[in-house]
Amino acid sequence: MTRILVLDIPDWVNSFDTEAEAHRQFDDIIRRVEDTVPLVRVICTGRIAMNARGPSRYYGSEPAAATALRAAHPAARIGIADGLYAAVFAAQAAHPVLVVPPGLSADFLAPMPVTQLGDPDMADLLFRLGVTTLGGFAALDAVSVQERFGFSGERLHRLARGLDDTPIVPRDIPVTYDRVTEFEPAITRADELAFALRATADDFIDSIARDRLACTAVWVTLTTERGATHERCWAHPTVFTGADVIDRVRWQLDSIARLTTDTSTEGFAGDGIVRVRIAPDQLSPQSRYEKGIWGAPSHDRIHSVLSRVQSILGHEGVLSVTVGGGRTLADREIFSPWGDKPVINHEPSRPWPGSLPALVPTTVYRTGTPVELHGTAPIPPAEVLSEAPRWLVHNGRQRELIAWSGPWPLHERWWDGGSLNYRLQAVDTMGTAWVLLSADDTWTIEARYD
Amino acid sequence: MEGPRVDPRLPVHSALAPLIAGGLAPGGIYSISPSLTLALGLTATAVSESGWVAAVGFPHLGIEAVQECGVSLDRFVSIPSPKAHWATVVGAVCDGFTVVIARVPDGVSPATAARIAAVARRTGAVLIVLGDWPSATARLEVVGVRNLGISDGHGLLLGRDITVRSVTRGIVKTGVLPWPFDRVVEPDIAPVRHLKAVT
Repeated sequence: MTRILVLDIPDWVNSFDTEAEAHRQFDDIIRRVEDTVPLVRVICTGRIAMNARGPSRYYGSEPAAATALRAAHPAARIGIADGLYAAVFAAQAAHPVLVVPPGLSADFLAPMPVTQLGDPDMADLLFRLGVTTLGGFAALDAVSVQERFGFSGERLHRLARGLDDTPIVPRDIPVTYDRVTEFEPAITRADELAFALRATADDFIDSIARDRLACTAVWVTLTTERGATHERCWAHPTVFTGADVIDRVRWQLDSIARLTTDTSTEGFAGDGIVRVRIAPDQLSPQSRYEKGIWGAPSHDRIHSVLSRVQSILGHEGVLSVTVGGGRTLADREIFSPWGDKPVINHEPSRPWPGSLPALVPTTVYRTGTPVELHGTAPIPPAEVLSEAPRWLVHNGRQRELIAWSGPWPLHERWWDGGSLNYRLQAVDTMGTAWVLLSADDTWTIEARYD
Repeated sequence: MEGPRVDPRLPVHSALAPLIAGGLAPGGIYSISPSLTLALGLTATAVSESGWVAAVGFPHLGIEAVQECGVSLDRFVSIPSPKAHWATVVGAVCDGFTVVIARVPDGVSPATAARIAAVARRTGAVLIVLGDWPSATARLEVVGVRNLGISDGHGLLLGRDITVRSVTRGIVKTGVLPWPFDRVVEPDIAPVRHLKAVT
């Protein structure tokens, strides 16, 4: 197995306003790494991979290489493992360096959930089979996996067994997909270049898609008027679209521009681009890359995690929440299944006479839990002022009260003949505070401060 | 080329920071007594600007309280009843969420706990569990509460001061967490009511 080193800076993209800016900043780091390691693959902005062998030889050992490369950025984490898949995990788990010894990648991956395969359908199937971890998946017989899940399942099975053989070096791909565009006169501005390449990039992606393939990594080679070439391999968290290719070309042009000039001008210091070559580095069957293996931007990840949980618990199992208007606390809470738009019945901003003033409770009961209030005798709501409440009796459990206040009237739809209800606050000897609501002739717990 | 070291800990309410070595450790598991105020106190500051929060196993969590303490509801989800899938669900949301608040059901095996801990360590999620947890990063318990503004038959509950204790390697630390969190703790140090467990 090829030893792969991954350098990962957590949350890199999210710490910038735009992805382009994130990349511009990341480019400095790539260039620093490229000073010692010639072949670096950009997995996504904030994460790069390389063969570990070169830097380990240069620095003397894998840990030494990891420590040296970590200096590229204070937040950088380095993972080294067999194959790219395990190395990415190692980097994510690193504090800040984690070297998984040769041959142990499968053990390292074993406790990870199967959702980490990046294939929701596959994870679903495995869940239904009772297989929840990569270790469990890896333990399945390879031949049965291939029979049951086909080629793509076999590939994921190899990942789970720590046998990812994704190469870091470019591999042979038919040149028919390559697109070379030449410019006369030379182009110096990134936006001009982007405009000029738009049709080419779309055609490039379309020609790959026609063969039912998806492009997950691409080489961009820029040749300048003075004959310099600048080549870089870009990987995509999921699958490249034409627009994504254009973005990478722009970022690469920005990075050369910054190499040749200290000022951040739009232009390219007189040395324009005369030739652009776009070539695929990695192609995969389309079906496999509907969702990315490398972790998409955070909202996509949240969405895929929650969709998975919904596939287990049902659509209503994951709830988004908003606050609406209403007099009772439960009325004010609006729940909607993740992915659905919330339906707001009441305007939260309207004044709601009778809503609980001041302090917001941490627990709110949506269905009134019946409770009894006792002084020397049970106190029904109608007699709330008859004597001081001393006990709260709930589910057969008595709580002694040390303070109380109220009652406050709560008019709920009195014009419809609704009844006049009261709200009461009480504190028990444990320090827990309760909000009680009368419902006709009984008390219910509306909320609790806990 | 060595830059300044970045402290990876996430900030918490100033009352709680001294109890947990300054902040929440990514991948850490914090076992706390069943107080949602304390859970929110540990969570709110860390995610005030970015980061997602999941609450697992709280069908009655007060949503206005979550909003009140500064957690954006756009970055909050509730998974109220995970039931038998508790471990799978918690493991899943540890991937992508910054903070996961979970009520520990009875009978979480040490193996399950270890697996969830491994996922959290890898993803950097902070797990706040209400209940016991083997080998937690820190344990926090509520040892006393003062309810302010309310007395016998009059007044109105205006705030709460919650005394929280942590024990780490035999060193006991306490702090007073006010609710709402932006309130100033009452300076009057009347004897705090110490609690005994009841059954």
